[in-house]
Amino acid sequence: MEREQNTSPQLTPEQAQAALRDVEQTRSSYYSELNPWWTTLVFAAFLCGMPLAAFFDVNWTAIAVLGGPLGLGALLWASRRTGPNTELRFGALQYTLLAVGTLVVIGGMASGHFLAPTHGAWVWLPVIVTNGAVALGIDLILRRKARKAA
Amino acid sequence: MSDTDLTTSGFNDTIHAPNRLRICALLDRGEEVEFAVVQKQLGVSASVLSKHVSVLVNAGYVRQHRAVRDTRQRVWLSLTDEGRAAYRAHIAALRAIVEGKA
Repeated sequence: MEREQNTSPQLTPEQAQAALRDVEQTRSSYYSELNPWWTTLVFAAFLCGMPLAAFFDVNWTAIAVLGGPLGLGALLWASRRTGPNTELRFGALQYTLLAVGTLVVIGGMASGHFLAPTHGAWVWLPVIVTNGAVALGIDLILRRKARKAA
Repeated sequence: MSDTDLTTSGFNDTIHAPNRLRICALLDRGEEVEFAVVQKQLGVSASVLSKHVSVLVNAGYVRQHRAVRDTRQRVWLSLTDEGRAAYRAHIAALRAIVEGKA
């Protein structure tokens, strides 16, 4: 096997930094290709759509029942572009974000559902903001992590 | 990561060459990546990419296999365990240079 390994590289810190930056840019670009911005928008629209519907006294369960499969279908269509075995690895961070995000969304929707009849529809407003923040926050965290060279 | 880990002993000329570092960076993200996707990300021709992939395959860092998708045969690339270890050691070596621990 041909293999070259140096123990005394001639790189300057600036050159090494440039190489690391190049790697980060490559990983960031690839992550963006696998996760185009509109997939985050789908998540955010779905998560915000439910409390928004409740705020306007529209039955949000319809959005949940219809929006879920539609959104999932859109995401699956996006993922098929990458083909088999190109899914990113799910590590501790991803599982944690998924668990926390799910709890926050469910907690918000449950709070709104129980508080709205007694406190008014305005209780849905912080749920809309929180759900949107969950979708965008998770996306930002994962994009930032994806940029890391290794 | 201890200081002893942040040394330049993991510096790898095979991986550091232009485009090969980026190939390893792409493959480190997922299990397998299609050749055409890597080519698109790097913005190089298929022949140039093939040359770099061959070097990495010969070094034991990358494996490739053919699979059919949408009725077309395609090539999929992935890092071997050795390749992933070498790539990460190389990244650690670069960081050590940047941080002045060389």
